[in-house]
Amino acid sequence: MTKTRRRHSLRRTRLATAALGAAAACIGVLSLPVGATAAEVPICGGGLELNNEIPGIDPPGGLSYKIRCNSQVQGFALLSNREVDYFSTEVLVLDATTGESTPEQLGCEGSFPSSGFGCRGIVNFGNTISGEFAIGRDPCEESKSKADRFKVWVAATVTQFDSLTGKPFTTVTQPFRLKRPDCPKASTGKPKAGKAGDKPKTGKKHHHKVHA
Amino acid sequence: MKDRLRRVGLLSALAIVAAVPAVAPAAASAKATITMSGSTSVAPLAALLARKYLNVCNHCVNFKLLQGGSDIGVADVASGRVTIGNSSRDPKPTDPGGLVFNKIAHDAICIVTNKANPVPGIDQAGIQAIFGGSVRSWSQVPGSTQTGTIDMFVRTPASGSQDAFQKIFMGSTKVFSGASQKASNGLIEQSVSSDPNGIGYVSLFFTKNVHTIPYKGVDCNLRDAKSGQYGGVRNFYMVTRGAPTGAAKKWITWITHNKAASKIISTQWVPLS
Repeated sequence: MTKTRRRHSLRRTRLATAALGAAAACIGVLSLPVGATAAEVPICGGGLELNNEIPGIDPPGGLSYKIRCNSQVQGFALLSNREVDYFSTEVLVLDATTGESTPEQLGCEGSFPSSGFGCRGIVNFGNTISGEFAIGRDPCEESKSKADRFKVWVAATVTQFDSLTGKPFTTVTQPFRLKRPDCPKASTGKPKAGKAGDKPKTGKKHHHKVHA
Repeated sequence: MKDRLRRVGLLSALAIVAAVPAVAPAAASAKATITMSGSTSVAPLAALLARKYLNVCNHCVNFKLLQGGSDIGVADVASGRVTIGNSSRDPKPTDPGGLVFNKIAHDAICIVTNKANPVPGIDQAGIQAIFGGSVRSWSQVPGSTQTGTIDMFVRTPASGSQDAFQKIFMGSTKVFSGASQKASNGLIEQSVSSDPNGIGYVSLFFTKNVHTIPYKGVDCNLRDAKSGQYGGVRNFYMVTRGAPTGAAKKWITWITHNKAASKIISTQWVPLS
């Protein structure tokens, strides 16, 4: 009996060690430089707002989004756990300091309905991308569980600079979750205080906002 | 007996599991996908119409929307890369044969300046002088609040807006070669809205952040475009290879004949009737 227990315990330890080893190997592989390494980790963030004034879109479902990255953006993909059935095909870019529109702009393409869409164009460091999309449901509707809550992520293709040579290279960021829209108080879909996480604290489950 | 029952149950479960993947692709392929590419002016309208159509037809199709400009849309549909080529220009003699231009709506092209330079009006001769390059300073333009060099923003040659602009406003006058070429309506809007000396032309949908100059004394707005008063109106087309069939036919027929579609078109564009 004791021998069996010891054997089980040993097997568990071996399994745990193997799992940890595999995880460490994965992390190691992911963080390995692919031809180049950047001094700064690319971070994107932003948030959503309810938008019931998109011409031609019957509310509810319309949303505005604002995205900002700490690098030059060459494109981004916006993904949601709700079915996206509309997106603005051209997206504004606002200046990081003045907040006014810039000559930069992105064109968006994708499928309807789908989990999201992609936009391409050049957006300079710190400038804000501002666009619209719609989902087939009320973004503030009550969700069955925490996991089922309305969520949106953004992953961007950005320009980075090799920390050794200074040469630019293109990389893709991890997906960053956008802050959910503020819902009317009566709705249970309202995000809890502190969950919206405005500061970019890497390594934690929250939304990111970039400080240029 | 119990074992037998269990085996039968297990076999049934396996049969269901095995059958699902066989059925799923068939069900998935039953839903047609309409792919569209082309005009950046038609794209916002196509996106809005697609959303409504999905609602009314109970998600009967999938849509894929790409852009690139009218010439790209026409080339893509001619080569069979997409189901529909979106075009904001009329057919050209140089277009590939066998294409059908299905008219879906009308759109106003607006001449726009920066909001800091609200030019009170312009006529065709004025447009030809500015965009043709014979007038290069705002001090030569009546009503302008600017005095510097005119920064001109035009569309790339692949654009239907460029073609329509040339046809409606410029006639035989060539666009000034020193003009800055932009690949989309949004880029023109952005360029003009951030440059006090800027001038350009865009689809009415893209005029939120710029000043629209009245043309021949008529404002570039939806009401005057619908009434026919505004002279700068062009056609929007969904181009198909041959007459549209199947899902594409249903979709185009819905756009041109359905009241819900007409209501969406009326928000920023001019319905056919």
